[in-house]
Amino acid sequence: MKNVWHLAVISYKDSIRKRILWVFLIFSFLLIFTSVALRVMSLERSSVYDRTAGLEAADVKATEEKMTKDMAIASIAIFAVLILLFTASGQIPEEIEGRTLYTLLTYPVKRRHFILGKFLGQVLVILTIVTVMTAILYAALFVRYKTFDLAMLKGIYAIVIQLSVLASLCVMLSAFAPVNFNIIFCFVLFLAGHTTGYISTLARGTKLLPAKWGLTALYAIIPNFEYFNLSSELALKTDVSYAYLFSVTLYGLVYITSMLTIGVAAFRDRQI
Amino acid sequence: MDSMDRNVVVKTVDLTKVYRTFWGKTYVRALNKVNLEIYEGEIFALLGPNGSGKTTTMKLLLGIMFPTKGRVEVFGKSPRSVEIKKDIGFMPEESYLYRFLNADETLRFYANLMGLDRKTRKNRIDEVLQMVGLTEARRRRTREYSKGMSRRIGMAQVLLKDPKLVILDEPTIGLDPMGAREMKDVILDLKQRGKTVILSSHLLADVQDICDRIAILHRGDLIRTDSVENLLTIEDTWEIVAKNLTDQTRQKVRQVIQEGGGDLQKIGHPRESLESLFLKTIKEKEVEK
Repeated sequence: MKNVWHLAVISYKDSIRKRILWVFLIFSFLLIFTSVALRVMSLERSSVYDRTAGLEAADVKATEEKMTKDMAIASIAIFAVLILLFTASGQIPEEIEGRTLYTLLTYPVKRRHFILGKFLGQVLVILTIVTVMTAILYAALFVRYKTFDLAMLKGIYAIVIQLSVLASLCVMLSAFAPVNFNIIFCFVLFLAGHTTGYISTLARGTKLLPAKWGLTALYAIIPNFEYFNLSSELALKTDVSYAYLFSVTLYGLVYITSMLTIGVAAFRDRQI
Repeated sequence: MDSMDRNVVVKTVDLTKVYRTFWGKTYVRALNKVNLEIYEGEIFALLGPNGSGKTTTMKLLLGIMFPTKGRVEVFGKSPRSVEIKKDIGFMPEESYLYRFLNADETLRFYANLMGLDRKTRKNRIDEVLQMVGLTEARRRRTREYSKGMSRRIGMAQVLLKDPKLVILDEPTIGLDPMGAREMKDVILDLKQRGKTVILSSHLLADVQDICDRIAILHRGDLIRTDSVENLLTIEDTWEIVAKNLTDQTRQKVRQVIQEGGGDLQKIGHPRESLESLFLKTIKEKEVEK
């Protein structure tokens, strides 16, 4: 199992040197700061309006802070997803195209360890980018509001689980699919994963049996990414229970295990 | 030593590989019922034109590709078995490296995969870098390496494993004559140390120089296998090499041959190989400096 770690480190080093990661990271940095600045403008406008409506300036500021957090947490999730799609999708195809896999597989490396190493490497990438973005967010919020809200970390944690699920999907697909297909497929699935509620509603409302079964199956297969989205709850300071976080973790683990199992099975007999 | 007395390291039985389209239709038969036995301690060459099945054979021996029919055994086991991987070293046609690592990091990564402890790892890395002449360049990113340097680091990762079986795809390609000579010396040294070496090469002079046995492949068929000596020896012709012969002695030799019913083809000075001349000239120049 030590080899899983060595492979993860190489996968991490490979991903971290990619320019696209830094481009998105810089964009996210700008956006998080800009979102704070935009709220400043909003506060000026809102304060005039809300005071006339009988609201105190403090309430307006609190509302603005919530909206800022909501937008910033959403920004972290979106940029991290974009980074991950570009780093994780090419993990195995690049090893095959670059033929580094030829040499690698002549070492005592089990193919399943190779897949696990790739996944773990991407989890390290996720932890790095989310840590950097979170640090930026906390710094921006501190500069603007002089607050240090630790409760936000629950939302960040859910994002990490969500990204890990997406990474497992990308690594699984990269075991047999080309990079471009993988990026597009995962992105579409990510968007679809935020609308599974509608799919479920559609399935319930459809009377045509094959369509009902199809939609139910789709609902079961597509990961419910909305389940990991806690930004609104945290922005509104609704307490997120640890039981909920546990269920999020469990859901994520089940999905990750399923994806990696498929990935291992697909890669086991792949000829290079 | 007779082949019967030697351990078989690699054995293929009716080894067949067919590449098929997505729809299962055969589009090329890369190997067709190839039977091979490669023995411990020999240098064995796979020869053949492009598309003859050399690389496919190597991939099958390495377990990164699987036979369509027949079987392949390495150390008596399937090449897919992880247990035997420690004993196999492979250098591909081009040394495919992680471009973001330097030589030291590259070798450390491979040493880690071998499970070497810290001290052994460090010593082994120092030793192989010295052997391939890359000690000075150990901190440079491999993306900055020339083709020759990349080949050396490729060889270094093979030596690092200290494997019993070494598989080399075009080991001297892209190297200058001195680099090629050094590579051949390394291969001969591996043989001296009892390792089995399988190589493929288009450079036939190199193969002739260092190999014990060869297999000639053509469009997936194994058409000849034998020792280099047996294949290249012209049975009905004899060669006498002598020094300091006077004109008179040469005349006598000619006469003796004719009297014995022989057909004298040539008496003349032997020629040095271009490689040997080149290496000698460069060495002399270096000594002068």
